[in-house]
Amino acid sequence: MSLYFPLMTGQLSLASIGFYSLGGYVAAIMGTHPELAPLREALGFFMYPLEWLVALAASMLLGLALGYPALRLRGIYLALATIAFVQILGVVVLNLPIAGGAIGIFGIPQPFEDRLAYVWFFGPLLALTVFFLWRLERSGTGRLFFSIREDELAARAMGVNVTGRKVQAFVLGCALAGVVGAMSAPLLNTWNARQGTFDAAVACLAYVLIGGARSKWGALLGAALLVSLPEVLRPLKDSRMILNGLVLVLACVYMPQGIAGLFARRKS
Amino acid sequence: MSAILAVHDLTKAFGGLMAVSDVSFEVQEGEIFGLIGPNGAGKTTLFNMLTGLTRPTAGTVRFLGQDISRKAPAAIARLGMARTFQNIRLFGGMSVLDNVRVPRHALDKVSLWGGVFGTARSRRLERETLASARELVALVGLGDRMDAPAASLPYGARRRLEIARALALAPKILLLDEPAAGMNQAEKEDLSSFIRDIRDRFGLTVLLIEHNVPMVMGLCRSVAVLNFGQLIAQGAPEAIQADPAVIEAYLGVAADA
Ligand SMILES: Nc1ncnc2c1ncn2[C@@H]1O[C@H](COP(=O)(O)OP(=O)(O)O)[C@@H](O)[C@H]1O
Ligand SMILES: [Mg+2]
Repeated sequence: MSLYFPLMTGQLSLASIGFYSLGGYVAAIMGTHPELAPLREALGFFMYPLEWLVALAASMLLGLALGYPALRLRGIYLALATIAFVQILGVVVLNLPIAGGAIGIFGIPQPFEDRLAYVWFFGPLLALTVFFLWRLERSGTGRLFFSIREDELAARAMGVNVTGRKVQAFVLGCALAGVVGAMSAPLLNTWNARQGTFDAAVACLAYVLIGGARSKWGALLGAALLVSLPEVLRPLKDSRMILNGLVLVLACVYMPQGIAGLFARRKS
Repeated sequence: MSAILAVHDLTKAFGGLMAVSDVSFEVQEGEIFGLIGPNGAGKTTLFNMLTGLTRPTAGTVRFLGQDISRKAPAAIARLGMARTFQNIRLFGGMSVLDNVRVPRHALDKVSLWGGVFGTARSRRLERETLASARELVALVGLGDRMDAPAASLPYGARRRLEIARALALAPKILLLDEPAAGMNQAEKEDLSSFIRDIRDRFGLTVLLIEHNVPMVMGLCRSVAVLNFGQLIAQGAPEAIQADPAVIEAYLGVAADA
C-alpha cells in the first residue's frame, strides 16, 4: 500500500522496499545492539513502539532527501531512480559493520511466541493506514494529489506546487514502508540485505498492478491474490509458477485498472 | 488606467523556428484585449510564455509591476493569472466540483495534516472552498452536474467548466485560448456576453485568443495581430480591420482554406 501514496500523484516509485529494509534494520539494531541493553530493559515492551517511531523518522528524513531530487524525474525515469536507490542501499548495508554485513542481524527479540499474534502489530497499522488514506482522499491535499495525477501541466497552471506535493506523497509512502519494516524484523527474527532486493520491489509492483493502481484497496487485493495463488495452485506442482505468471500477464492485459477497477466499474 | 500586463520583446525559438519574435504590447486593467492571427501564428506559445509553462528565449513580461518571465507557472497562477487551454485540459477523472476546488486549495496551500486530522482551520477552508466552488459551477450553468466526472461532460460544458476552474484562482487577469472554438453563432453570442459579465462581476482583465473576427470586434477594446510570430498590427478594432497588413495575412489564410 505504500506504493499507493506516490501513485496518488501519478508517480511510480519502487523505493518502498528500500525503506522497508531500512525500517527493519532500525528495529534490528535497536533490538540487538549491546549498548542499548539498558534502554531495552527500562522500556520493556514499549521498546517496540519506540523502534517504530525511530524507523518512521529515519524513513521520512531519507525520503525527503531522496524525494526532492528524484521527483523532478518523471514516469519510467523516476521508477529507475528509485530502483537505483534500492540497489545502492543494499550495497551500503552489506558494507556497514553495524548492519552485520552479508550475514545480517539475527536473534532479534520477539515479543510474541505465536506468529499470528503479530496481528496485534499489523492489524492496527493497516486500520490506521486505511483511515489515514480515507481522510486524505477527501481532503484538499488529496484533491491536489489527484489533480497532479490527472494532468500535471494543468495542475501547475492552476497554482499547484507540484514538486512539493509529490514529495509529500512520496514521504508518506516511505514512512509507511519503514514502519512495516520495523514491525517485520521481530517477526522474522533475522534481518539481512535479502530483505530489500529488486525481486521484492517487483513483487510489490505486481501486487499494485493486479489490484489496481488507482485505488487504495488495489495493493491489498493484489497482495492477497498473489500470495495465496501459489498456495491454491500447489497441487499442480512445478507448472504452478507458470500459471501464476500467466495470471499476471492476462490481468495486465484485460484489467488495466486492476481488480479494484472492476469494482469501480460495477458501481457506476 | 494603468497597464496590468506589459510584454516586452518577447521571443520564443523552437530550434530554428521563430514561434514568437520580439513581441511587445500592453494590456490595460479592466479591458478585454483580443489576440488574433492565423493558425500557427504563435498565439498559444505566447500564452504559454505568459503563464510560465514555456520559458521565453528572450524578453520580459511584467505583471502587476513584477517581472514574471522567469517565475514558475504555479507562482504566476497564484499571483492572479489564470488561463484555459485551446485543447481543454480538465482533471478528467475528478468531479466537476473537485476540478473547481483544486485552484482554491492551491491558493490556500492546504495542510496535509490539517486535512487528515480535521483541524478547525482546515475545516473552515474546506467549507469556504466548497461554497465558492458551488457558486462558480452554478455560474457556468453546471449546477446539476456537480458530482459528474469532468470527462463525462459534453464539449461545450467542458469549455465552461474550464472557465469556472480558472475563475476559482480569483485571478486579476484571465487568459482564454480560443474559448469559442467549435461553437455555433448563438453559442458564440452567449459566450461574448458571459465574458463581459464575469469581467464586470469579478473586476477582471481578459486576454482573449479568438479566430472569429466579428466576436473579437464586438468584445475587445484593443486588438493585437500576430502572423508568423510577429506582431503585425495593434490598436482599436476598427483600425485593425482596415489595416492592409492584417487583410493580407487573413486573405492569405482564406485563400488556403
Ligand atoms: N513545443 C513546440 N515545439 C516545437 N514547435 C512548436 C511547439 N509549440 C508550438 N510550436 C510551433 O510554433 C508555431 C506557433 O504555434 P502556436 O503558438 O500553437 O500557434 P497558434 O496558437 O497561433 O495557432 C507553430 O509553427 C508550431 O508548430
Ligand atoms: Mg493556438
